[in-house]
Amino acid sequence: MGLKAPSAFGLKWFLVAESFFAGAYIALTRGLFLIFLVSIGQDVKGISLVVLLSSFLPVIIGFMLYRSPRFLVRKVKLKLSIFHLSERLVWFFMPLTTNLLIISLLYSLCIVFSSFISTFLTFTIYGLLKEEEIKEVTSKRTAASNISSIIGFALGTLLLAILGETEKFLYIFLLGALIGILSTISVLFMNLSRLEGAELPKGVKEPEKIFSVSTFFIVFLLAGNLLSIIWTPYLMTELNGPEFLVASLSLAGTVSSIAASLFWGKRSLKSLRVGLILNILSPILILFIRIPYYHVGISIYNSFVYTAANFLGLFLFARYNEWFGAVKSSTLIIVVGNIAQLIAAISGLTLGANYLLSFVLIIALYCGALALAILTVPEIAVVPEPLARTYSLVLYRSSLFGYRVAIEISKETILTIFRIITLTVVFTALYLIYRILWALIM
Amino acid sequence: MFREGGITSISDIFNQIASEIVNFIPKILITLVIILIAIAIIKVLNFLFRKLLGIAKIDEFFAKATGISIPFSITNLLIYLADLGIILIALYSIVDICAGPTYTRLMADVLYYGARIASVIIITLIIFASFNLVVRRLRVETRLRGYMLFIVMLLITAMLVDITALSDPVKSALIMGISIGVGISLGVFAIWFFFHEYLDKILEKKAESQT
Repeated sequence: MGLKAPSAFGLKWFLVAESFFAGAYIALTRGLFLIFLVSIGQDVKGISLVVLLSSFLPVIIGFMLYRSPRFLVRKVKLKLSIFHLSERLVWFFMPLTTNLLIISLLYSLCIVFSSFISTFLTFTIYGLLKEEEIKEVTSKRTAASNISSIIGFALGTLLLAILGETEKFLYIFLLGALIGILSTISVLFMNLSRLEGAELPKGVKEPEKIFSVSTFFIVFLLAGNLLSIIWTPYLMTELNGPEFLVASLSLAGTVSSIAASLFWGKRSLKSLRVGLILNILSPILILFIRIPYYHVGISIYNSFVYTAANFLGLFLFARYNEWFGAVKSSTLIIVVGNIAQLIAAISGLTLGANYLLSFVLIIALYCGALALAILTVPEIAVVPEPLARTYSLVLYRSSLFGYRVAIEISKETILTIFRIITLTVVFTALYLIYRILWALIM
Repeated sequence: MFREGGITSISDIFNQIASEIVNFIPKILITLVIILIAIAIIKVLNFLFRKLLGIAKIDEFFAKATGISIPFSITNLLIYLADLGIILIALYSIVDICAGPTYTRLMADVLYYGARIASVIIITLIIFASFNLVVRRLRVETRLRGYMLFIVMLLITAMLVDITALSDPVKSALIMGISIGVGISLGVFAIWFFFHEYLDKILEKKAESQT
């Protein structure tokens, strides 16, 4: 790429500072958004509508950026700063209305900005740092964000308890947005001039490798997101856990992931593979241990091993970054994350309260992710590297063939539907004309 | 008196003509508006239909789905039908406004008769298209093709008789005759088609016994 600076010491700390302030900002704004929706009288239907609408947009934006990455390499700092600031400013307006449509639009706008910010920040990390530095910054950013989100959640809980019913969200969102602006200030100090006009790879050298890692990461993140969606209701309704346990679970998980980020951040890819294997145990433990208080321990375990498996995906992209390019790597990571989140949201809505089926699905997905990783990703494969490459190639080609067939069939189907709709419209128009004529004559 | 009466009568005529023109001007204006609206609707409909049907490639789709190639474009046919409908609505509205109920009834009769002629033409076209298709697909021999054409012509004649200005008893007598003719022809043909080998053998035996 030729983008990396000889010393990126300052940049690394600004990136960590950005993540630190963003953690508290997210805890005070997006973290309390669902409670805000409930407080203004929205039911599950309204909340689902807002969440689902906002889940679709990042996927679309991610695909658009992946297809036209030129947008990312021009005026990087200006665009990142504007999106960063705009996302924070949206929260100033959020508590001023109770109209669900306006709230949905504002939240969607916020998610859109957030999607751009994530892409630009990943592009900054992958574009300006070396592989080892990427690992270091990723682990430190995760730890910093988690520390500050604990502070943010504590502050949020305190403010929710002490402030009056009418103005509490106004002050909480205002405070969150102001803390968020501190993270925008961190962005302003970053020197991103070397990202300007970054070269875009004309073709992908080893597409099968990217395909294998992306598939593994989507399956893994899908399982993780689905688990986070169903764990809380399972604990509350099925195991009759007390409300404070949910908060303890979240707190324990966050603390554990701070330690995990620092622990796994310097490990090799093969060591991280252990985390991926151990991760399968989490849903099994959640399903079979029926004493709610033990789930705090499971949360600590789950966050610790999940962080390792998550780092595995991110660090693999960091390794491929050399030949895949920072622009494509950063957009693809965001697209993968967004797709997994969207599918998990839809799956969560579809599966509903069928916990057994949900947990079986999560275990199957984790096993699938592990199988994909150890068979098709050469860097962490348990089979010899040439065999892993062959598996990867077979998977890529068969998927490509399936994709082409699916596209062809979909194209034909859409065309036929369009033709039928066209004919229906035309015949309806003709019927209307001759019906008027008939009415006139009669 | 005559002179005076003559002047009065001419002035009355002019007054009458003037009042008729004054009464007619709004009708002319409304007619113009109706024509303009009809033209505008036709233009818009033509554009929309042509775009929609062009994108959907309806002709290609029909040929591919049915395997039949028709000598005219379905897109154009649908557009002409829409145009015809709009023109008829406009014409009927104009007649209603300018000429009154007597003429609208006349126009309804004309339209009804026109629809009958159009239906005969369409049915004839469909019969001929089906006939051509059968002849092409089954590779029918010349004699059989002649027979089929004969039946088709009889059916078309029956339909043509129905729309002529002949009196009803004559029409029913002619149609009855044609129907009986078609029935007998089909009956004879069916006997020959299913039993001709058996009939041949009987005839051969008879010929042998005579010799």
